[in-house]
Amino acid sequence: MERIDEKELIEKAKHEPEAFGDLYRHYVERIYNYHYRHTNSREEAEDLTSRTFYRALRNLHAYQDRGATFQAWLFRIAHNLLVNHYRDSGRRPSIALEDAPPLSAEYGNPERELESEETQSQLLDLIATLPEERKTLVILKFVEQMSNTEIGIVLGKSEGAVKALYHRTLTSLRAILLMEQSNHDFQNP
Amino acid sequence: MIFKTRKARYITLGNTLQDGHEAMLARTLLAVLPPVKPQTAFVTLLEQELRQAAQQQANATRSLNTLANAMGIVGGGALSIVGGVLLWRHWQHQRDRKAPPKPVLA
Repeated sequence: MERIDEKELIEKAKHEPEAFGDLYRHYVERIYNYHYRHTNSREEAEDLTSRTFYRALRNLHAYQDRGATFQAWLFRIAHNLLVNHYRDSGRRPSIALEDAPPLSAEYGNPERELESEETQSQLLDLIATLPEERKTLVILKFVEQMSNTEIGIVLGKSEGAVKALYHRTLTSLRAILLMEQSNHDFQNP
Repeated sequence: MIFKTRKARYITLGNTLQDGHEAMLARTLLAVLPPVKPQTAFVTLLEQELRQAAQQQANATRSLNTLANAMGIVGGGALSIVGGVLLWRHWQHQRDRKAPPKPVLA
């Protein structure tokens, strides 16, 4: 959807239910996907998606396009609901990646390692256990293809902080992958 | 670089990521995170519910606006009457002050 069209649609949706339906159809799959990637449960993803759009509907009159795109605004609602969900259910992703020792970027052949199916599966498992904020960053960056500015709006951080977090996350992910790879090589020489 | 011995394993530490590695990791992440679509029934049902809620919200806003307009008209009317009375009283007061005193006895 063109940004200018979307702007008109948002203004229209503030008064007309039909227009909100159009906005919903445009974003529902992405919001669902975002929640599903976090919760790994269809039921929870549906519940959170539903709550995200209800909250968006209630607060749409307050939305103003002041540099923040509508998708960033909507994903911020989704993110806040997700944080509340984690807090209320007492569930938190457990692995803090800072605890993992970083490896040299020179080690091994990263292309070969990352392209293997086993590594991809490991990577998926790793993402599932990432701390909530880092998982959000990975999803928004790679699945939603958002800019650092938009991710900053969603996470409530500056663009610089997002860049730093992004770099730390990738470095840590790679470090853990290589660590597991080296453990595997060590055990099966 | 990694050194393997019988007793210990040493890994050269580093905290940087080369551009090529970053791009490769990004591509891999994209490959392992394909979009997951919601069920059509869920999407349709939620859309119906949201349209209903949006309609109710629009109706509530319209009712509130109608009420505010009505109150504005009634309030404005009442204030106009009060203002009119005050103006009339003031005019009367001014007229009485300017009128020559009447003789007490003819």
